[in-house]
Amino acid sequence: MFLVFGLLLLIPCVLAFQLVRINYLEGEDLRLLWSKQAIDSIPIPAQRGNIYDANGTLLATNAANYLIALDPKVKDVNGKSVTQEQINQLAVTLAKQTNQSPSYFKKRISDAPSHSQYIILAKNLSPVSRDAVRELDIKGVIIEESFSRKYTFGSLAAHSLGFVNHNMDGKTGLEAYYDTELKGENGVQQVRRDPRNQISAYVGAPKKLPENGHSIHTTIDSYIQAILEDELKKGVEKHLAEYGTGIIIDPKTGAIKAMANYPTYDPNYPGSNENENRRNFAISDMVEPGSTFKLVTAIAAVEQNKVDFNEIFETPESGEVEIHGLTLRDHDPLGNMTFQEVIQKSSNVATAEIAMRLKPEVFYQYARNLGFGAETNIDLSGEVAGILNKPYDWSLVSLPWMSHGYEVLATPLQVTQAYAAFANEGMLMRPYLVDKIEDQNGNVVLDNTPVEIRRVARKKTLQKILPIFESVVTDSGTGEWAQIDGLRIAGKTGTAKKVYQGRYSNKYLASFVGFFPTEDPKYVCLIMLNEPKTSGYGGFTAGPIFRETAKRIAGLDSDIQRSMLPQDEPEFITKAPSLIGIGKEESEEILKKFDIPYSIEGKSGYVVSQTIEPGSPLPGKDKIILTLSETYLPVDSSKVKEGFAEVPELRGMSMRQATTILAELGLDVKTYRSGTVERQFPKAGDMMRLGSSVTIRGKAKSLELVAMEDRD
Amino acid sequence: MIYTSPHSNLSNIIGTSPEDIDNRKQGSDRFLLMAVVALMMFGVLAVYSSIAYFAESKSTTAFTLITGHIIKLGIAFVVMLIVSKINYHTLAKFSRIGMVISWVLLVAVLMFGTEQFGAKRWLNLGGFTFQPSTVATVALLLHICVLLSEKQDYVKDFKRSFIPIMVWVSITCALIGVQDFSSAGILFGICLIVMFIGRASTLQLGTLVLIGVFGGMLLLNQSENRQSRIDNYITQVKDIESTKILQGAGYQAQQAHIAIAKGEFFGVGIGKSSQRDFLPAPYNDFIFAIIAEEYGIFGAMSLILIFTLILFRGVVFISKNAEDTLGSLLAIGCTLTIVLYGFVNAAVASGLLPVTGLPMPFVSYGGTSMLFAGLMVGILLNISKHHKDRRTMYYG
Repeated sequence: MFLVFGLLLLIPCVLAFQLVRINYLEGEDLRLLWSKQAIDSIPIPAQRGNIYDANGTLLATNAANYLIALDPKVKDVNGKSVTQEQINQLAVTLAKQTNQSPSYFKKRISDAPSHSQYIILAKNLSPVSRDAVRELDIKGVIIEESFSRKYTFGSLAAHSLGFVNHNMDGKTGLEAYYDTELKGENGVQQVRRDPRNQISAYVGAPKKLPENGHSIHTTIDSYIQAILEDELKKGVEKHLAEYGTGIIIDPKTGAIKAMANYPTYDPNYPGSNENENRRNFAISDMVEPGSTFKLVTAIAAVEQNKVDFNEIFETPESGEVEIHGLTLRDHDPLGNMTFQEVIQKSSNVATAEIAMRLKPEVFYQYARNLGFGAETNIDLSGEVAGILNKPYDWSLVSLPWMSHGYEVLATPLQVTQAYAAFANEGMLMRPYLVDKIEDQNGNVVLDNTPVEIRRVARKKTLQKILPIFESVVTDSGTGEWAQIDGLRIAGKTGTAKKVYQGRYSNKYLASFVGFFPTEDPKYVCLIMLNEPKTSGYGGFTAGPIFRETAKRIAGLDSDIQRSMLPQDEPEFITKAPSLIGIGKEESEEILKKFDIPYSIEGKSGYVVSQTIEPGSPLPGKDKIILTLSETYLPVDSSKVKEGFAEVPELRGMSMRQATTILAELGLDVKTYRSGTVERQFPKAGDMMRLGSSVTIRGKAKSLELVAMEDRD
Repeated sequence: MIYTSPHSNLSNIIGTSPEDIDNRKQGSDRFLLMAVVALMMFGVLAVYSSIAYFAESKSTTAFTLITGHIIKLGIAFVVMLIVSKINYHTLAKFSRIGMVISWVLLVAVLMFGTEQFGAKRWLNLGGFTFQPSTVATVALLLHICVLLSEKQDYVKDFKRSFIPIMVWVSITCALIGVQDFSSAGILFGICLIVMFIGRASTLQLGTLVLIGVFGGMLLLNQSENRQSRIDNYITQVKDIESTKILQGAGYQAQQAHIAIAKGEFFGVGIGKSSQRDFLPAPYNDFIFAIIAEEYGIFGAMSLILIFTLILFRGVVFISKNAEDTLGSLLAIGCTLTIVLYGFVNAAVASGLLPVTGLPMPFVSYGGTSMLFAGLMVGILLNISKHHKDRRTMYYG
C-alpha cells in the first residue's frame, strides 16, 4: 500500500519539474512566441497638415468620414440583440442622411449572410449623420472614422495645391513638394490580438503619439486666384482655346498670388477628371513664347546702347524681309517706326534688325539672366527648365528669330518671372508659393523670405523702356484690348505660331503679360491661351482676359483704387472702436494703432465707458475719453436679455485677455493661433446665447506695433 | 465545573475525551473537506477568467455560466454531504444493480450518444446531458471492492476470484474505452491497484498488465480522434520550438506551454490570462494551464499539493484506518480516481501526456463529472467516520 502511495507521490514531483523546466528552460522562446501571436502594434494616423492662403483662409484640410456598419450578433446588457424596430429606426435615420430609401438599408441587412457580423450600410457620412446614428444608441452599430483630404474651395488653386491619393500621399503640386512636411509622423499603439484577429487595447500598453503634419501658409490670395480662374475660364470658352494658363506674381517678392489653368479639375475627386486637366501648364509646358520675348531684345539693346530712341526703323512695304534665305514677316506691313513703335506694334522685322546689332553671347547672357533656360526653382514639383541654346549651337538665323521669341522654349512661369524682374526694377526674384510652414503647435518651422536671384539690368535701362511697354497698352499698341481707364499698365502681347508636325502651322499660342500699376508695380499677370480658334492674336484674345482680371484685382486693392479714382469721395472714415471691457494697455494700443487721440480717466483696470459711442464715426481730431475702473462689469444688464450676452470688441486684445473676458461673460471661446486678436466672430455688439462660442483668431504682433511700442 | 475526573486528564493526554468519542463518531475528515472546498475555489476563479469566449459562442454571458458552475458545485457539495451520511455498506448492496445500469447506459451512449469536441461520450436524458462513463467508474469501483472483500479468503484463486472480477472490469473498461480511451485506461489502472491492495495475485496482475498494454495498442487504432491526439503529442514533442505549428498539430499543447511560460513563478495575476483566448476549452481540459499562467508555478503547485493532500488523507488515514476491507479498498479507489484525474489533467496541460480531455475534479467547468467526484468524496467521508482505531485519527 505504501509502495503504491510512494510511487504516486512521484507524479507531483515530475509535474513540478516540468513546470520549472517550461518556465526556465523554454520560457524565453515561449514568451517570445506569445508576443508574436498576441501582441500587435497599430498605427495611430497623424493628421495631414492644412494648407492656407495668404489671408489665412483654409484651402486644404482633412475631413472626417464615417462608415456605418451593423453587427446583428452583438447583444446589449440584457442579452438582447438588435430588434426589428431598431433596424427600422436605423434605416429611417440613414435614409434621411443619404439618398437611399429606408427599404434599401433594410434589404441590405436582410440580404446579408446569416453569419455576417459586419454589414456595411453607408460610407462617407458626415459628422452630423454620425451623430444622428449615434443618438439611436443601437448596440451592434459600428461607426468607423476615417479621414480624407478636403479641398474647401473645390477646384480653386487646384494646380498649385495638387492632390493626394487614397493613402494621403501627395501626388502633385504643393501636396507632393511638401509631402514630408504635411504628412507628419504616425504614432504607434500596442494592442492585443486574439486568435480571431480581433484587436483590443489594454491598460498600460506602450503608445507613441502621432506628430501631426505641418501646416502650410501659401502666398496664394484666394480672391485673386478666384478672379483669375473665373476670367481665364470665360476667356478660354469664349475663344475656344485648347487650354489657358494664368499666373499672377508679386514682382517685389516673387510670391505667387495666383496660378491657374483651365480646364481644371477638382482635387477632391482627382480621378474623375482627365489626366491632362491635372497638368500645371504654368510650370510644365515648354512653349515658344513669341513676341513677349522681345523684352530680352529691348533690354539688351537699350542697355548696350545699340538703339537710339529717335532712330527710324524702315520695314519694307511687303512687311517681309529675307534673312539667310528665310522669310521673316510682320503681322501687317508696318512702315517706318521709332524704337517705341517697334515694340508697341510688335514688329518682328525691326526687332530682328535690332537684335542683330548685338553679339550672340550678349543676347544669350541677357536671356539667361532673365531666367530663361533654367528652372525658376519654384516650390512645386514637375517644373521644367525650357530650352535656351548656347550661342555655339546657334545657326545664322537663330539670333533674329530668337529676338522675337522663337527657337527658344520657355514655361509660362519663366516669362512671368522675366516681366516681374522688369517690374521690380531689374531684380530677378525666385517665384515661391509657400510663405511659411508651421508645426502642429504653431511654431514656425520654415519662413520663406523673398530670394533675389540676380540683377538682370540697370534700373536706368528699365526706366527707359518702361514707357515703351506702357505704350503697348494704348489705343495704338497691340495691347489695346488690355487697357483700363485710370490704371497704368505696362505689358506685351505675344502671338506665336505653333510647330505642328515639324512645321509652323496656323495654330497659335496667344499671350499677354503685363504689370500694374506701373508707378509701383504690385501685380505681374500673364495670360496664355493655347490654340484659340477666334483669333491667334495675343492682344485680341489674351489681352481682354488680362484686362478683366486686372480690373477686378484693382477693385480689391484699396491702394490701386485710391490712385485710380478721383479724390472726391471722403477719406476712409475711422469708426470709434468699442473699448468697453478692455484693459488700459490694450485700449491704448488700439487707439494708437488707428491714430485716434484719447485721454484716460482713472489709473488702471478696465474701460467702463467711452465718450464716443462705439461704431460712430470719429469726427476729425476729437478726443475720445475713456473712464477706467478696477472691476469690470461686462455689460449693461438692462440692455441684455436674460441668458444672453453681448459680444465685446476683442480685436487688439491679447488672446488670453479675450478668453478671460469671454469666460466671464459666460461665452465659450474657440481660439486660433496666438498673439493679439486679429479677427473675431461674431462681431462686437451681437447678442449671443450664453454658452455659445465666439471664435477669435490671433496674429503675432506686427512689426509696426512693436516699433510703436519701442517709440513710446 | 470544579470537579475534574481522572478520565478527562487521561483524555487530555490522548487528545480525546470519552464524551467526545461518541460525537466524533459522526465527524468526518475535515482536511479532505477543506481540500475539496479549496479546489472548488480555485476552479471558480479560473473558470470565470477563462469562460468568456465559450460564453460568447453559446450566446450567453460569462456571469451566467459561472453562476451555473457555482450552482453545480453546490449540488456536488450537497451530494457529497448526503452520501457521507449513507453508510457505504448500504451502497455496497446496490453495487451489482449499479453495474447493470452502467452497462445499459454505456451501450446506450454508443448507440444514441451525442458528440461533443470530436468524441461521442455524452448521453442526453430529457435535457440532462451526462457522461455514462463517470457513472460506470463509480459503479465499477464499488463493485470490485465489494467482490474483493467478499473473496478475501480465496482472493489469490484464479478461477474463483481473479476471473470473475476481471470480467466486470474488462467489460466495463472496454465499453468505456471504445469512445473514451483515457478514462478507460485510468479506470483500468485504478482497478489493478485496488486489486493489488486487495491482495490479488501479483503474478496474475502482472501478466494482465502486459496483455493490457497490447490490448491498449489495438484499441488505439480504432478511434481516429484518439489517434490524432496521440499523433499530436508526438509531433508536439518533436517540434515544440517551431512556430509553424500554430494551427496544426500540437497547437493546443504549445499554447498550454506558452501559458505556463507566461506565468513564471507568481503568475500574471487574477483574471489576466491572455492564453485563454488561444487555448481550446481553457475552462476544462486546459484549466491547469490557465491556473499556471495566472498564479504561476506557485499557484499551480499549490493546486497539485491540494491533490497530494487528498491522496495522503485518503491512503494514509482513511483507507488505513477503515473499519473493514471494503472500506479500505473503497477509500483507495475513490482517492485514486479523484487524484489521478487531477494529476493527469495537469500532466496533459504541462505536456507530459497527450491531450486526453479529462477534467480536473472540482476545478474544471462541467456538470456530471463534478457530481460523481462529489459522490466519491462523500463515500470517502463516510468511510472516515467508521474507523477501527479512533485515537490514531485526528478530527479537527
